[in-house]
Amino acid sequence: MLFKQFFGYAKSICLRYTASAEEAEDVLNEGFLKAFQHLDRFDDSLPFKAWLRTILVNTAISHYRKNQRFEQHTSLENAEPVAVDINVVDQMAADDILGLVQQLTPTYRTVFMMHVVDGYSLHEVAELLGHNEATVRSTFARARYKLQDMIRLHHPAYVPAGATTKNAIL
Amino acid sequence: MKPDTFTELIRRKLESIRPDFTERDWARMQRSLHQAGLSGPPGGAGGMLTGQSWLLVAAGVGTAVLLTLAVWQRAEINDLRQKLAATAKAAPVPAKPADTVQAASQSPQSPQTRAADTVYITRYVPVQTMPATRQAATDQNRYTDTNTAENRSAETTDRSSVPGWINVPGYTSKKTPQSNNKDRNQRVATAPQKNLLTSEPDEMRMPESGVGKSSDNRGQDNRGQNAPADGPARQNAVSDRAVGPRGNDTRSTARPDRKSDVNTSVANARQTGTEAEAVEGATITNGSQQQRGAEGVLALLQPRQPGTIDWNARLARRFRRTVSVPAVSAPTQKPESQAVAHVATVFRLGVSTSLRARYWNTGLVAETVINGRWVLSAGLVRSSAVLGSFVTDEDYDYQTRRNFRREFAPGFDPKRDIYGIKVRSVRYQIPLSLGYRIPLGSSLALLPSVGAYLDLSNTMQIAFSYRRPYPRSGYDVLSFAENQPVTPLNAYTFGTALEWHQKHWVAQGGLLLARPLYSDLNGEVSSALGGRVRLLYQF
Repeated sequence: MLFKQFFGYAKSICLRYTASAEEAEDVLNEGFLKAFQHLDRFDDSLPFKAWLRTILVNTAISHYRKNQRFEQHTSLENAEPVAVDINVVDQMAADDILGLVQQLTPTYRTVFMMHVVDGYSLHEVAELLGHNEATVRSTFARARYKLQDMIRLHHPAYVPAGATTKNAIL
Repeated sequence: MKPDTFTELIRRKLESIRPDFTERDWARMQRSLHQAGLSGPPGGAGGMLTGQSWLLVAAGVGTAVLLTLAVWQRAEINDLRQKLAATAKAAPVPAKPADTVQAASQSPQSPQTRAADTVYITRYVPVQTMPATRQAATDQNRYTDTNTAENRSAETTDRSSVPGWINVPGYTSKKTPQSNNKDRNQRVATAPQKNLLTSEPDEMRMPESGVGKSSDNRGQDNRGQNAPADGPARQNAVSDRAVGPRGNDTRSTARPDRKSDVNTSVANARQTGTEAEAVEGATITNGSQQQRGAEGVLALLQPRQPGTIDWNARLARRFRRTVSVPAVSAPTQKPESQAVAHVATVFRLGVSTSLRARYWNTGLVAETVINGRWVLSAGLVRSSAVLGSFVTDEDYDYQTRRNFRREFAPGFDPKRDIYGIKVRSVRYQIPLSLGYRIPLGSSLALLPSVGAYLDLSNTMQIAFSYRRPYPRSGYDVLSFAENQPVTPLNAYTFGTALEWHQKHWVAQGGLLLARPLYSDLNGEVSSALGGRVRLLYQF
């Protein structure tokens, strides 16, 4: 059964691009629906995972565009570079990191996930989202700093105050 | 930008997440599939069909309309054919042109059968004639001219006396002197004395001046009016029998179903009769009906031998016949006028507006009035509806049992309050209706109808207010529109209206009861009563 076999893989993609589990389920169902409807277009010579991943990412982008109208009214806080101990990140649970990612604004989250996890270049991200490439670069940098800041806030004990240790990274 | 250690760690952590599959997820997926119309196996054609269901509905409606029109048109054509046939039977027979009159005289018949006089010879079959026939042919050639001329005279005389026939003014007929007719009538009057002495049928007796004897007699008789024994007077006598004192003689009445050659044979048989035969009608008139019937049957059953008919002479006579342009005579009486039922299809085009509960639509509508009774209408309208007003998103969630933020504002800052929600729906629809006109007066009619609304598009318009982010003060209004899934069949309608018709303009106004097929925001399906007004121009 296709849905059961690829459910975990697909759900993890959807969770990265959405702010909640319910929203992720919406994107997941919509993505699988598209996959079922266009199953005849699938090329057997290619891996199904890659095809399904493309569909899910595109569905998530559509979902982002649909909700983009609300984001312009939300405040974009200026993020400052924060030093984070890499060992702290390594010791964090995946669900904790996912929880922090989901707290990012949709634009930050989408740009960061597309570039970092799904391997799109910033130029491709800019084209897919319909933004300026410079804006996307700036957005990615802000998203990265924001995520580091959130890690520091959630795990203050593990973040060195002066960020002078040799393992600290920016 | 090269991935650094931090992003690489984040990527590895996020990609390691694998949520577990539960039956609840599959149930949720199945609900989505059902909503999308994919009830069968994934990737099947069911979804495609459902996605184009509105096209199927439109095609079905169109097919039904075309079939209805085809059946109605067929019925109208049959009706018109019947009326045409009835009119043709009732109409008086117009004056015959000269050419037709000449040909019709060869077989004295009723007016209906004379019209079918013309015989087209498509093939000529030479037949070896018998010696007696040759003699007759020789004699026949000798008498052809005279016979033809006199035949025409007799024919003209006959025709003028046949009821229903009108002499063409431009046609100069050579009438046989009245004395001839008188003589014949006298002979007819005196004939019964001879005929009463012999009880055998007339056709079985020998002609007085016949050329052939015994069995040859019939063949000789069948040679027609050109035989030597068949003088013009004899033909006139036969013809006169049709209009004489016994004009009702069955032998002179029409046999419409017979071919012209049959008529010719019968006529020939009569023309070759003797004086006694010429007066047989009088005998039959005085005799029994059985005798008359038997005589008529014998006349018809006389063997017709094509070989004994001189087709050469007939063809020659036909060629000699002057071909004249039929004189179109003025109709003797004005043709009857018959009121034709109002069967035309009338088209109307105009504007329509209706109001019911929270719905208001306006648009263009076209109507087709079939047979003056059935009214089929279709159009394109824009339907607006105020689905609800809510104080806050919590109020929306409470009243509708839905989640406003998740449904319409999933990315909106959850810390920010939402006020003054207004939800409207805008649909483009095709209103279809079928009505039956019940005339109440010369310009007023009652129009009950049934119909449906078909959705083409469905857009939800949402507007709400929210507090501006710090340090700005006050509220901003955010409005946006979302396309919603379209259900092809929106609602059934039942209505009745009064129709006022003046020249090209038609105004309709009445009540409309709509039964929607979808639930509103509260999840309720409730009928709504409203009104509808239409102003149409009739072409």
